[in-house]
Amino acid sequence: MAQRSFNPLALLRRFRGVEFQLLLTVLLFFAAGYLLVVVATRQREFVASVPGVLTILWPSTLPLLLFIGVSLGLSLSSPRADQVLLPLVALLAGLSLMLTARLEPSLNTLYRCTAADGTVFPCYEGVAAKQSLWVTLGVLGLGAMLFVPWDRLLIRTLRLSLIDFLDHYRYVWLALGLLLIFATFLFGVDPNNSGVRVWFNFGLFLFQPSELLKIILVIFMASYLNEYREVVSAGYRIGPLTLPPLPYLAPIVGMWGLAMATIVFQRDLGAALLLFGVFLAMLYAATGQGWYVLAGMLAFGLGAYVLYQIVPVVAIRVQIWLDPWATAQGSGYQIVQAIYALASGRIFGTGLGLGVPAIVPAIHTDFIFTAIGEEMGLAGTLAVLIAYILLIFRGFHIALRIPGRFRGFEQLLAIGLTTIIAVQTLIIIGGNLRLIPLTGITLPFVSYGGSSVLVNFIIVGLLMRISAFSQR
Amino acid sequence: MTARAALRTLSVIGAVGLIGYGLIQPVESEVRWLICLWAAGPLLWLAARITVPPLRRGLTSSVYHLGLVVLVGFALLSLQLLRQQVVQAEAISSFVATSPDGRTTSNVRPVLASQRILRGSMSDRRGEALVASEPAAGFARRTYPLAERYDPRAFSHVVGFFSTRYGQSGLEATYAEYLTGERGNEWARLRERFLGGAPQGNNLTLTLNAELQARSAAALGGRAGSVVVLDPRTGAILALVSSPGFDPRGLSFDPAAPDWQAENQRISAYWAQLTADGAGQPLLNRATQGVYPPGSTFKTVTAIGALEHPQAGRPAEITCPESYLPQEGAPPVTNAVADLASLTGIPSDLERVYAFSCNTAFAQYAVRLGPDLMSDVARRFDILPPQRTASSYPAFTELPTSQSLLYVDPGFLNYPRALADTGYGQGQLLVTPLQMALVAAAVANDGVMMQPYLVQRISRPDGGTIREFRPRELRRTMSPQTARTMLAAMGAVARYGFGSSVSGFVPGIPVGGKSGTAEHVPGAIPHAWFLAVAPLDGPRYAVAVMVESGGEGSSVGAQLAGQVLAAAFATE
Repeated sequence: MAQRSFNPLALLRRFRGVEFQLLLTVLLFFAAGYLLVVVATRQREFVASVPGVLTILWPSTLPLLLFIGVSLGLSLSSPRADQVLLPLVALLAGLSLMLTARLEPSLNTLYRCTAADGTVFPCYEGVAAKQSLWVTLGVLGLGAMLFVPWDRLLIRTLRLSLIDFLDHYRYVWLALGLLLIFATFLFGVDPNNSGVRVWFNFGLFLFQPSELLKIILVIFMASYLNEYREVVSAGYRIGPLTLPPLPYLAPIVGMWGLAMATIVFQRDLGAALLLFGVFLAMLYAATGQGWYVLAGMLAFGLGAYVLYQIVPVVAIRVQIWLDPWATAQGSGYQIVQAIYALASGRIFGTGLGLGVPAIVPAIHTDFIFTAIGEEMGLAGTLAVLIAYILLIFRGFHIALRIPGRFRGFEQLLAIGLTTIIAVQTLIIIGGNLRLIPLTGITLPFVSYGGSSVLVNFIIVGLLMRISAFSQR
Repeated sequence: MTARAALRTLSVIGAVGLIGYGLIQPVESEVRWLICLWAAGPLLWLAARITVPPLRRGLTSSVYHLGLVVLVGFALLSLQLLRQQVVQAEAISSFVATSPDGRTTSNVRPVLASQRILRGSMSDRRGEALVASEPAAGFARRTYPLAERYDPRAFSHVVGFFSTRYGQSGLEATYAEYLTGERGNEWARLRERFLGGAPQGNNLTLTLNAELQARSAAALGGRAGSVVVLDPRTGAILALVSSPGFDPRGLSFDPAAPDWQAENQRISAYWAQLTADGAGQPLLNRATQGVYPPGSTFKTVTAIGALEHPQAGRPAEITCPESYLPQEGAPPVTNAVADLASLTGIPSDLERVYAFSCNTAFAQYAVRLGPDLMSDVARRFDILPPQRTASSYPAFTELPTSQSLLYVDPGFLNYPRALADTGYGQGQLLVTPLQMALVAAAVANDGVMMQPYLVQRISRPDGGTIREFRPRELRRTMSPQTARTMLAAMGAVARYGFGSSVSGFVPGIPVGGKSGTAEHVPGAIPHAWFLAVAPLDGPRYAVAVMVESGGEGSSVGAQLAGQVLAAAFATE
């Protein structure tokens, strides 16, 4: 930015108009929805005046105003970065804030916890405020990805740009990932009795290391597959047979296998499924070999069958999936209530604040999509699905816009990061809708949860950074 | 190329077929739908893959195919949403699952919705609030303002209970659609659907006189029995008491209670108490559902028969012998009091045998009329032979009722002795107190029987009228001449006959009446009945009272009817 132009016309040319307009639309959508929610759940009295409306909106619109700040900042620093990602993320994050604000009062009346000293308190108090904080931190993190001159800093210290830095130190990332896994084994806690010890307790907040693990794994695989792409896709030819290049596949398969095994031992099936899906997708994107995917799926089927036989959690999940009604009062309660919630939404939903979504346990985290289904109906759920499709396809679009074959790492990284969002969305919504057995992971950007929000914002930050420098 | 197009068409048709078949699968066989959906996925993918133009192998092609798989995944999600939220939404919402251990699971939303509705209020004819609703902790609570002034048990059978657990009874059940607002204010419902706000039901204005209702119940004083007070000119029910009653507050759930579990326990404990053996069936509405032998009050019907059919009945030619033998080989009919003829005179007339309730005289009338004419006159008052009759009384549907019967066994009236017994109110007669009140009311209304009704107006929360109930004639049961004669006869009862004590309760107002002492189980204390009309010149009240095993109608019954009449005039 040394030769920054002060020519107003040039400034106007840099202005990211599409993004700005879309963000304003999102802001209006959020403001209307948030007002509706707050008034419908009787958290505040509605005063039909500008100050009255603003007092309701003020602190909660802060994260969305930050989005606009990021957009304006990008107009100055990197006007060519993708203009659609940010509004889509703002839309989903706004939906998240709206829904947590709507769900918190219901959660507070329905779920009460007993502290060690016997006092009873609402389990999820402050969920909405905390989510606002997380989204704010997420936007700040995204801003940090975009505005901190990482390239200059890293070039000065390591003589590498940020992307090259990520590419170059892949074995450091691999080691870091393994370290994270073992640390979870040692220090993992299970704060809300979900049966899995996959959180770190940092006193002030809980952190889910598997969220970070997925980015690390994607960086590693993108780097590795980029370097060995030719070998991995070609294989050895011995006469008429083409053997898989086993020696070259070994590190990624090994890394993946280790991750899977640990996660399976920790019963974190959702994360395992996610990592597996991302792994297959990246392998396919890098090699173009469909049979890798087929072999992987076959292996997955076999593995799933074995797990079904030996791991009781898997067997229970599958039984609930096939017939939740049989255990409607026990293990199938959550999914049965989710089915009722979705069915009562119909086409236009009961209206925000007028349904009873909080009956479904974990409605603000794993099952937030059913809350949308109940109160906004099919119209709302399809809109959210479309938002995700746009987000995912924009990610793929960014990957394809990267020119030249010398930036394969960036391409694979963009594909991998996008695939994380795609697979995660498919797994959790599929589980919510009983399309596949339920595995507890978050719905990107919408579910309540600090680690998930932060990591997803960093993913988008990376994607936008890649897009910003893709056309130089 | 054509092979590809054909393959594409085939896979699209296959996918659509599978999805169409799967969508109509009922909730119980959802697995079949899931199989269809999963099978349709690869077909959709195949069709899409053929459609995408072939790309050079490389990253672009891979990403395209990756995107295609993601798209198919989202398509499957959308199809599942289509089924869950639109196609099968109704079936799923009302699906009740029974787990192997017998516990059932159903959608909680309809129950919550019913608890959230501010059910309409009920008020008496003067607008005094009896039952209302108020918001409580996000739900609605049924309140009973009537309990502030009266014993709530007096009103229990009319207003009924409203329980989330045990359902509804009385008017709460009959007018549930109006009280919830489902009917009557569809426009407001639509507005609430879009603009929010607590749904509010419609209000009922009853014909009841709350003060009279409470005083009537107090006069019954805890004895098992019932009191019915009608306005003979309109058929409006001014009081309808059945005792023992229950406290509707005991069954209504309070959502504002700190402990819902304790609240539910309180309700189920009260329910168990009400339904226990030996509780005296407090949930039964004796006034409309209880059937009893009417005793001598039925002589009113027999007398009307004789007057309406003078050729067969010869009403003027009557005596009151000590005993009367209608059928050889059967025991003779006797009077309850010895030497009744000294009171009725020899020969007597209809008024005197009616006033002194002479069994042998009315046995003779019944035998003269024969089974056909007796059935005919009883039918005019909706007291029917058992054949082809409904189990409830079709002319009054606002509360649960029983049909009154002239006899039970087919062909019973063909026996002269049975016919004779029926003539003075025994035999196999089984009538409801409401039915006898209608008989008295018909006499009082110049022979025209009006349809009884309990709700005179249904109004919206804003006060607008939805339905207004106008008095409706059921039929003319007797000529005005007969009605005048009968009214005079009833006046004679209260003036000098058995039951004259009723006049002492309403000094200065000429009243008419008829006592009844109904034997039900040999040796047991008989049921005490009394019919009353007042004032005799232009009756405004027709009363039927009945005390189960209460004793003599002319004393116990007349006293109760007198108290009720006094209350009616006092609360005018």
